[in-house]
Amino acid sequence: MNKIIVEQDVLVLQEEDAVLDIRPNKLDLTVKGRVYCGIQDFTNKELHIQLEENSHLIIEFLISIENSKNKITISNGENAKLDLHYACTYKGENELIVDSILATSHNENRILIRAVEEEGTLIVKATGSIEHDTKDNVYLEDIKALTNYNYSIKVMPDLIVKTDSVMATHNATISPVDTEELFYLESKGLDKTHATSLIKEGFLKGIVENEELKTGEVK
Amino acid sequence: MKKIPFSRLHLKNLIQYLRVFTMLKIKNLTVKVLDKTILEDFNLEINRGEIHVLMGQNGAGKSTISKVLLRDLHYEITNGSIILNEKNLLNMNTTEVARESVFLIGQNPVEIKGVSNAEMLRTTLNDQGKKEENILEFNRHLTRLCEKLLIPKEFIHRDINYNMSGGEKKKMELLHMWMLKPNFIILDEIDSGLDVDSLKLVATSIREYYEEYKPSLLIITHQRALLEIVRPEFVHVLNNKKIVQSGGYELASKIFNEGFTGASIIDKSDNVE
Repeated sequence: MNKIIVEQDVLVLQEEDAVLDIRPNKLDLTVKGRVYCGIQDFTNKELHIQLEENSHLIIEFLISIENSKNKITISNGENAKLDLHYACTYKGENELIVDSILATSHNENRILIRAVEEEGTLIVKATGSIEHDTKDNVYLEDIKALTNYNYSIKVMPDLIVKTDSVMATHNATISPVDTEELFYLESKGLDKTHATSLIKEGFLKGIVENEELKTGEVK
Repeated sequence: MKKIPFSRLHLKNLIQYLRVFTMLKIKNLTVKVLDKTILEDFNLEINRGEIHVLMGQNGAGKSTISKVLLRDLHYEITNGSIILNEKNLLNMNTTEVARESVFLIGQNPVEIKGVSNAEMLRTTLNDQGKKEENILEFNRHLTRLCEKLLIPKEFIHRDINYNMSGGEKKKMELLHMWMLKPNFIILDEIDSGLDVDSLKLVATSIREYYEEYKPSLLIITHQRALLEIVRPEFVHVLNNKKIVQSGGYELASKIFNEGFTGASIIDKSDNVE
């Protein structure tokens, strides 16, 4: 998979598989056809995604953030699909805003967010708006976080549904590292530190499909 | 140098031999979970290379002992001692027990999404300071084990037990066992969720491992077919929080044929609380 260094604030991708190195603080990304994007660095950025008619974008973030405010907005053309996988570790004070607007029909937006705390806080505001006069849209939002024991994440979901013809769901789970998983790995001989970091890493990589992004072996 | 008389030297060696010979010694153990006593005055001794079976009716507390030995802190030990490899097990945490070469295969191995079997095994072997194989040899080793255990080799890189059937999970646990080469293995109802063919394969693999490495085994099971292949030498029956009867394999045969109550090992009244 190739790496694209993005210097401008506008980018059009068509039938492309790439890792994006986004340099400007704001980017308008237009997607045509089937596109895969991997992102390894995303700090204090705004990304607007415009999905053209019949397009399909898989966009995966595997990032570490520290004192960062990120915003992602999504607009769908007719019959477009989005799979957004946002996996991050966070330190310091952070905010993530994800806004989806479905103003057309036959769309499928699946938004998966996984966050692992490394001493800090994260506020997630996720909004899905399904507009009037649209039909057969699917909107799924699944947010899971592994925190230390002070539960330093705040999730603010908002589903605004203005039509009858939609399937929209929201799920949020916040928990510390699973003690059964920890016991299992320790019982194989792993020390607590290694076992915990394997579980946290696995938790994030569990939603990332692209092997090169997972291993960090990008050309 | 002072000459030690042969008889004293012989006795000293014998004592040393006997001490090293003992793998596990549990004495007068009392275990509680949420203030409920599960085991009381529980005693068990397992020597190196011995195969022991722990039997008992459902809910008798058989699985408790496997969790206690691996230092699951949900189980509170309020009395007694456990000596493993001449060390006080109660001073160890789970990792330290595992590094004493203890290995548990539980009834329902946990699924860990995002952590592959290969990743876990490689990290564990490194953590334990065991000889590092190069990655090609490591993968070849795993592939050979997959063929032996009839596991698709792509399972090596799949997430631990994730979306696997009961049988596949148990075979993967055996693969971990063959890689980590433990000296003391606890099998807690390894037969649950296995069909006839898988049970035979799993039992045969355990016996093969035993023939090759001569570990100590503590098997918790109700399955005759498993025991017929693994061939334990010692059988214990757990009831009313302690071992009420011990014997050879003939004790297991008697229980399989007549049941716990039929064989007069457990009174029917024992089951009424």
